[in-house]
Amino acid sequence: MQLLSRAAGRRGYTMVELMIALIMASVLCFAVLKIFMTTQRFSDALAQKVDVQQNLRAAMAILPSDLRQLDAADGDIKAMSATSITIRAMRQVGVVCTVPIPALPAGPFPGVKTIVVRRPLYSGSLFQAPNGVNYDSVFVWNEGNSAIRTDDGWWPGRVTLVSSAVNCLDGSPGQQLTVSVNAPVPNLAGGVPLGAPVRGFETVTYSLIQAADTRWYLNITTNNGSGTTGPTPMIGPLAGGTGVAFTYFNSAGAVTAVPAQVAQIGLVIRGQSLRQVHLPGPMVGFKAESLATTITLRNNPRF
Amino acid sequence: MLGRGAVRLRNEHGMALATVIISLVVIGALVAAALMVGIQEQRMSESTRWLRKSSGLTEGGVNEVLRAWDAQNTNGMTLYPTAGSTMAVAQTASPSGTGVYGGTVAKLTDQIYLLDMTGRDSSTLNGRNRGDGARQRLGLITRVLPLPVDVQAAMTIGAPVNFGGGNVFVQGTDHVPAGWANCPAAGTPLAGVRAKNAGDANNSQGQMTGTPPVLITPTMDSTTFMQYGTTAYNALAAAATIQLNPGSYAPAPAFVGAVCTPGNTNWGSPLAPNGPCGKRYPVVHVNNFGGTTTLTGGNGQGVLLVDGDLVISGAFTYYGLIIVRGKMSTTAGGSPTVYGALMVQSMNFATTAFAGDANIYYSACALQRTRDAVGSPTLLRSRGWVELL
Repeated sequence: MQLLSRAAGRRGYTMVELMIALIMASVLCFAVLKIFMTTQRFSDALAQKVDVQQNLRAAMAILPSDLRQLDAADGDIKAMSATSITIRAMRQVGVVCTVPIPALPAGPFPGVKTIVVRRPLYSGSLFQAPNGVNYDSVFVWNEGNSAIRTDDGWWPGRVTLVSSAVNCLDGSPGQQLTVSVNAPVPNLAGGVPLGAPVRGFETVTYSLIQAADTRWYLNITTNNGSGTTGPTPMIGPLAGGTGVAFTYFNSAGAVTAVPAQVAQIGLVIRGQSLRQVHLPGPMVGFKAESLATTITLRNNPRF
Repeated sequence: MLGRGAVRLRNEHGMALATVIISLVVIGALVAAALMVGIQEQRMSESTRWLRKSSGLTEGGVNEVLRAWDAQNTNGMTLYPTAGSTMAVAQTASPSGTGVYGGTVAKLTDQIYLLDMTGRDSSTLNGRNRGDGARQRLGLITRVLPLPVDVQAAMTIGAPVNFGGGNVFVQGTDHVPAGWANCPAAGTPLAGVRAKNAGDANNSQGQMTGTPPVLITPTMDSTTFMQYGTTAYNALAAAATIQLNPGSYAPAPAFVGAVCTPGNTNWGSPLAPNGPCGKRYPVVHVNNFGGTTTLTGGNGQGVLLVDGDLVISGAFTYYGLIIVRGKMSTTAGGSPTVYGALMVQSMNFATTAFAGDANIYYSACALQRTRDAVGSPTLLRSRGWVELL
């Protein structure tokens, strides 16, 4: 009796109350969900944006570093187009620790010579033995007549043999390189002095290539004593066939198509996000960012 | 009434509070994620900016080292990698306060140097960066351009000289100085005396030898004595290591233990090339055109520039290049010995004035070392700029 009386005294929810509560809860849930989704999209878009920008910055750190060191007038640009460039990319700095070139009468001086460079190299890794097809390449400083500058230059050559069994004149560790020299100027006795710098380089191609996933990437292909590597995707994905744009300028600032006349290289990288994100409005697509810079070649001849 | 109402409130089970709390947690987490992404973005941007600053600092440091090149201490270093072949460039703050640069200068050959510079931006130094901050390392291969003096004879004169009967020997044969190691073998001989007009060198009686003994250059003028390639006499004099007024001097090497002591009368030690002052090749400039400077003895090496007249009254030995704008003469007991070359614009080597001996020997080695030692750094024709790893 007492229980019945208590039950009768309790007041339940009416249908109207329930409906109102359900509607309010639905509105609240919808609002929370909307905020959640918006924030998630925002977060995702931000992450993609950061990813793209990181890609672009990596490109802007790697490419200018190689391009700045070019001497275009002396053939460091092997091939160039709007989306690709093949260059001699400097990799090593060494020091000759024996007198490599004997005193020979002046005259054209092509041929195979041996030089010994000090170990370890001043910068970069040691030279590699050729694999039969591919070679490491070097420039050897030729001072020529020490009293004048006009005959100074670098002799290009390729390393056909490497031996670490030969030491320097002073007995310290060395690495002997047998170099097929292609000297553009006559050889003078003492023209390559003890201590002459040697710069090693490899041939590198940076090119925009569409990969199997249909996306576009900046690829790198290297050619040195250990062989040809690549093309390997380095930066990307990029914004289609215009993801990389090289523009070549001569010393007067005009666009040029002649590799030997290049004094500056304009570089535009247009990156694209890995995944599609919600763009402003109802659109869904790839997030795109771009960076542009102009690189002045530091090693072009000065006179 | 109040009691019943309170009971009723306690018994109601709502979900608004829970929903709000859950929503706040979810939204907070997402905002935190977005914030973190933003912070990451900001850090990457700052890192890039620091790196750019470091690059600028490094390049500026390299150029500053070139501008303030200390030829006396740098050009005389030994060859890399022996002791004394590398000179430290102390950490130096950039004028704009954006950071510091420092590194080393290594001498690779007699003329080739490698500048190895690292720049660090100021925020890295102040500890405001997370991690190690930004730094950039660059190299510059540079070449010291030897002083481009066109020497074509052991002695070049701008006015007639009368050797008379004194013991004066002027030889264009290439002499390798005794005791100087690593000099190349004697090279092509030069003329003994180079003069403007035939007959300017008189009464030699065989003291002048060379190929030829006398070289006549009708086009010779004041630029022969005052302009050396792109370097002018006045510029060389203004940048001289030692500036002197006319007077009497007897230079001699000065050192404490194994350390050479710079001083106005320390002109290096050509007679002890391996001694403490063996690498000292100062450019000595005696100013005051019209004045007279007397060398009573001693020895030295390098470049000696005399605006006025030069009188030698003792046994003075010099290795390198002497350029006298005025007249040169000797008195009784004066016996100069020069290995290198002598250029006198207004010669007065008259018999009456020339009471002592004189030995003027062309030496390619002495000249080349002098040229190298006092040369100024220049950029290589190409490929001097290096990104060091």
